[in-house]
Amino acid sequence: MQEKIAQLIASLKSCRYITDDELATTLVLMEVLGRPILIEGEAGVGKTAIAAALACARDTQLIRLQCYEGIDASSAVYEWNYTQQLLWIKICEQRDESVHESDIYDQRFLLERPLLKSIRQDKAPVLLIDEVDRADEAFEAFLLEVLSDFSITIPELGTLEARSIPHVVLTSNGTRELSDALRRRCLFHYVPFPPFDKELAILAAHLPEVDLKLLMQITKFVQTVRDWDIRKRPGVAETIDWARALCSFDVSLLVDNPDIVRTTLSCLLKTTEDHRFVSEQDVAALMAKSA
Amino acid sequence: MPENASASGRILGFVRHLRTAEFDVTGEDAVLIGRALIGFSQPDPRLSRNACRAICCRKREQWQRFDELFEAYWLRRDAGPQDDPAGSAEQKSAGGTGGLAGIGTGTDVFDTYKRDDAGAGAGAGRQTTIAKADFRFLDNRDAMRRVERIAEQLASRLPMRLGRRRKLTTRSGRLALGPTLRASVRCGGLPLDPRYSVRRYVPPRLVLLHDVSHSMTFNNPLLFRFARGLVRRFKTAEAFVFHTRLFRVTPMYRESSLTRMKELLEANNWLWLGGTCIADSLAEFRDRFAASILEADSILIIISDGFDSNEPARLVEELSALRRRCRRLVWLNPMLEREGFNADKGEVRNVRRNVDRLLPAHSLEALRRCITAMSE
Repeated sequence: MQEKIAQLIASLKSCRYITDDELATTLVLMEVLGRPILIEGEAGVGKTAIAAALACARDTQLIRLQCYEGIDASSAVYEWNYTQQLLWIKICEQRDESVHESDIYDQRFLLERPLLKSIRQDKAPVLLIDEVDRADEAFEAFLLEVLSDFSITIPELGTLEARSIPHVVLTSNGTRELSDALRRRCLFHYVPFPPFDKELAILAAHLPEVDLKLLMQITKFVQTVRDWDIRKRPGVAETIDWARALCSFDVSLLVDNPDIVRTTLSCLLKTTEDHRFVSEQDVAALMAKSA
Repeated sequence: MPENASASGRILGFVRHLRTAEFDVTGEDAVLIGRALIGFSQPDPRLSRNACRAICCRKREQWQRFDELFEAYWLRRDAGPQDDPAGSAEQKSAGGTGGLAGIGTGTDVFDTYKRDDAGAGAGAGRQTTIAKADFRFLDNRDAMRRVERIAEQLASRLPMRLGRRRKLTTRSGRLALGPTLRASVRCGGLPLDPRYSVRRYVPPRLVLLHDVSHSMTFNNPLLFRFARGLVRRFKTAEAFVFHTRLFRVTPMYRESSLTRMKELLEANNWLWLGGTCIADSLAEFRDRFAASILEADSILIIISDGFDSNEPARLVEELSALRRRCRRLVWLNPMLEREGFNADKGEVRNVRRNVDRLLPAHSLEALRRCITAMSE
């Protein structure tokens, strides 16, 4: 197991995802025990990126199901291509051919949605069920059923068994309390805001061309902003965006470019309240501290 | 094999230990822990802990508390659930630090962990205990039900809020294009069966922070029932108790059997101890729970007499920080209208300035007025 964990950390790093042994252990367990993993954490800390990085590390396909309010089984599992079915019936009528039910409900008219697609792959893909908390309770219950036996029953075709069991990654932002039943079936991982060293490594991995000194200043700045009592604390995604924004202005040191720092702060502060909360003096003091 | 039996016994002991700390760990999880640990070729305490945490935790709060509980069990460090006599006995019979001899390589994983981490902070907790709380008042079912019913009736007066989620209807509301198109396929593409969506009315999100320190002992039978009534009335309500530390008690309050709830509270009687650090507890709530629980339209209710061992300035600071994060901050103080209590003292004035409402809560009538004030 230790070797697998070390290998996974290295593979994820080659896919530009910096992680520690906590997450790597959970991901290895997910593969060993065949259980889905539920990932929670603040927005922008890299929950969705975990699935993409895992797919890259395992050299397999990433299939994504984005949950939203009102999502139903037809958007998640399968749908019949009604238009093509109607056209097929019309063509048969014009050719004076008889149309059997089995002809209409054939696999060629089946539109595979992410859940069905994920169990029909020869090589186990990574199935990302993103922001599962946005879906309704009814859909969550349906998801439970699919995740428990990895087979899908289509009344017209019968039960389709999984060719390979996908690695299922569920993410949640905590906008709704998920059911205990779903939580019980999953391994759990919480992604906190990264400490200084890790965030610096992430920045360096994403922006290798940028001077390390500037990246250190940016990281220090963001880490301090996170400690402030603001409504929306910036995640790693925001840090990367801000670093990119600063680089586009050819900033080499924060203290030398106070105006650019202030104008680009909108990459970090996402609400009006937060903008009001952070005064110019705060920013100036923070720049001096980060230098 | 005796060795294996001992190892599985230790895992089960750990599972029981977690259960007393409100972890919803099943027998299947115990099997998974065993399977995960077998996979380690060399004993690695850090990775073993990571594996156990991934299997046993369900929520962020549990994730954050896990290390402490893990160490408390395997390293005999002082933590709440370990006070449970059954848990202690389990550990003693399991050889103290547990150790999974016979699993994997046959090396004692957790004894290695103990050696690695020897002397790293064993000692007493910071609670200043005088005596344990008395829950005899819970035996009076009639009184309990009466107050709870009143609390539920009162709570139903709180206005519902308009939620963000929408539900589909067949009449009135905004036209839902997707479902309408989908339904029209059955009719050859004609939208004969239009679907609409309306916003749902959802109950107010209540968060209760209940002071259970000794100074509140006299008031708590009534307030405890009131808090339980509110939590049981609203599915989204969350309850916490605090003295020198803060604990989540929502699952206990939601327990439908009064006997079972009493058992749970008594089993976790370590929650209900000593001194009062209101500011510390509020800070703990803000750090650990506010991000996931508190929303912009939440009503935060603090039930406390305000006797605090922290600096008054810190309490003011914490209250103003919390007030910014919720719709309404209400403080219910059972001392306010009691004889001999000076409501014009500096501390009370400070509290009054930093909450939306400061209300008395010493009687049913006062609680009735509280609900009316909160629903305004």
